[in-house]
Amino acid sequence: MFDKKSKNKPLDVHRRLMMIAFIDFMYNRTQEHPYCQCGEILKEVYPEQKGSKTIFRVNITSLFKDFRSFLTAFNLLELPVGNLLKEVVIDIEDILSPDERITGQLPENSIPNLSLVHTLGSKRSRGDYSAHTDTSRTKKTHISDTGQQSSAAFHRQETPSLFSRIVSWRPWSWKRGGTRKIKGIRNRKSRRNGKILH
Amino acid sequence: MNKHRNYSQKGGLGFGDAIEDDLSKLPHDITDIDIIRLLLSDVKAFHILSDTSMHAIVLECIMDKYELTMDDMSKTPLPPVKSFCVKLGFTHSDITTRLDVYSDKFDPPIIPCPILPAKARAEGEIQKRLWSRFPESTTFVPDVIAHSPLTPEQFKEMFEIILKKRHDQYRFVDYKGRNDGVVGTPEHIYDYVVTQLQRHRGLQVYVILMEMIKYKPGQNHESRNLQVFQPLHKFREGTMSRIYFALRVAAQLTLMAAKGKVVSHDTHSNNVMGITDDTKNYSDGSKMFDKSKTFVYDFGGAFDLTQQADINSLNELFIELCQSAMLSSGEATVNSERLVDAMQPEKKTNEAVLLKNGICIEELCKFFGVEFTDKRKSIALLLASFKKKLAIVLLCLIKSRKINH
Repeated sequence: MFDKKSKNKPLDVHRRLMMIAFIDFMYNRTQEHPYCQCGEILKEVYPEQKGSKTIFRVNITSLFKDFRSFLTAFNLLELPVGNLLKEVVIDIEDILSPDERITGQLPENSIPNLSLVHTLGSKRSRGDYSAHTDTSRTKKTHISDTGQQSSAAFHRQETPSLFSRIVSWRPWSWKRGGTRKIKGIRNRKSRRNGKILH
Repeated sequence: MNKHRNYSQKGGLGFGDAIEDDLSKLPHDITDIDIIRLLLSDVKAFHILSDTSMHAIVLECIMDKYELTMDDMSKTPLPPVKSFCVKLGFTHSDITTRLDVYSDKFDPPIIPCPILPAKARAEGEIQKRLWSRFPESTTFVPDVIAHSPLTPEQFKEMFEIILKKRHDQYRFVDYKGRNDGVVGTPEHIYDYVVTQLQRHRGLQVYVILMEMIKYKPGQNHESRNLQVFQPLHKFREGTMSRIYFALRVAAQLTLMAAKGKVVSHDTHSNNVMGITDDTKNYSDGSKMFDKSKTFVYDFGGAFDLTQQADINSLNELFIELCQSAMLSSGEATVNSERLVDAMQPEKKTNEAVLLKNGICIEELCKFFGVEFTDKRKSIALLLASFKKKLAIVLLCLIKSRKINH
């Protein structure tokens, strides 16, 4: 249910979540609040980024507690190691059922102008967007735009941890009226995408 | 109810026959105020779900003769809905106006925090829009019945009987254990709101009537919530671990931005718009949220990115952030240390200290993938990147598909 042009769904979702977190931090800072309010949720999506850290003798339990720590740990162009974004992608596809009829795309004239409209509407920016999701660059999901790749991340992608295997198993059904078998879904997705999802 | 809606919406809450009949008797076009007045006139009991009196008061109202209908577009007909949720908050056209303390007996003092009327209106409209933009069977946002600002006279007319005289089934917070900014009993809530409205010219109460999201584990549910909010339900029951639930909420946050064009900055566990268990809420102010970590969204103050004003506001915030930032990582560290050292020991709370940990242009550039040069040039590049990335957030994740039936 993602846009067919999208070659890297986890990265698409990552960018959105990062911008949501950034806006959350930015706004709450103006309200004298240092935390990202949705960090409670996001720290579960990025479990490798959890753990305690001390900043000026203040112990924080996740990077979403401190804006600067967040900025140094994440960026919009590459996926951090040990994320559960593939699971989020499955959930997104699950929420938007296959028989959905509402496009969700606002008509362009209903979107406010300024550079935002230009960015949304122009071929250049769309091209730029899809360039970031090019499979050749993001095949292993941790290859940055500069072509650099963390060997640890690569290894992690190739051999998923026990933890990620455990969380990828969902014993309940999100769907109405029946049990959804993850294995079946995976096979269907694999056929559709022509590749194996681990 | 669809004929009274501005948004084209399939499914959702509808009016029962009795409500439709009474509304049709009105001699004029039906407004949201009429709907609010009518539904509140039939309230036989209510519960206070959340009382952060400075910001909002949330009630669950149970109707006597009236019924709402819920259509989630599934084949199974749902039973009539007898309850709805009311959210009350203050609005003022000048939010910088200094408002008075409600009463001397509250410590810390309770001072209302009004928001702009446009923001309050946006909250109701955002919920309506999200409801109309997702498939009915998977909508995770409470449906809005009506929303409107109330004048002091209207508030008195609609809420006096409920809050002052019909309080046989409420629970209230013991003053000793109350949270900051909580008034307490229904009578106090009424007095507090009326007092503030009378004291301050231009202050209004904004009311949103919406679907009540309520769970009683093991019991039948009176609305669609059983299916749609299954993850939330399972999470509250303790049959689902936090991680599964968090992933689901992350998916919803992503979709709200991509499809709903809404970015919330207030998604946290203490935003209670629904409850899990009657017996565990609101008995003790200090523990009222412990048993029901809810993540049902509060759209008060959310950024509606279909509105130019909200986009401008985000851009301004970003420019402000950049201008206040140090240039390099080293400078930021030195400056932060200096600021923390200069703080008075009694003011060194965790939050205050973390706020002193300033950011820098260099790290912002790294986050946005922008070339780091001098401050002025980098800020320009960062702003352009911020706008572009914001646009990407808004791009829908999915394409419309032709459906063959």
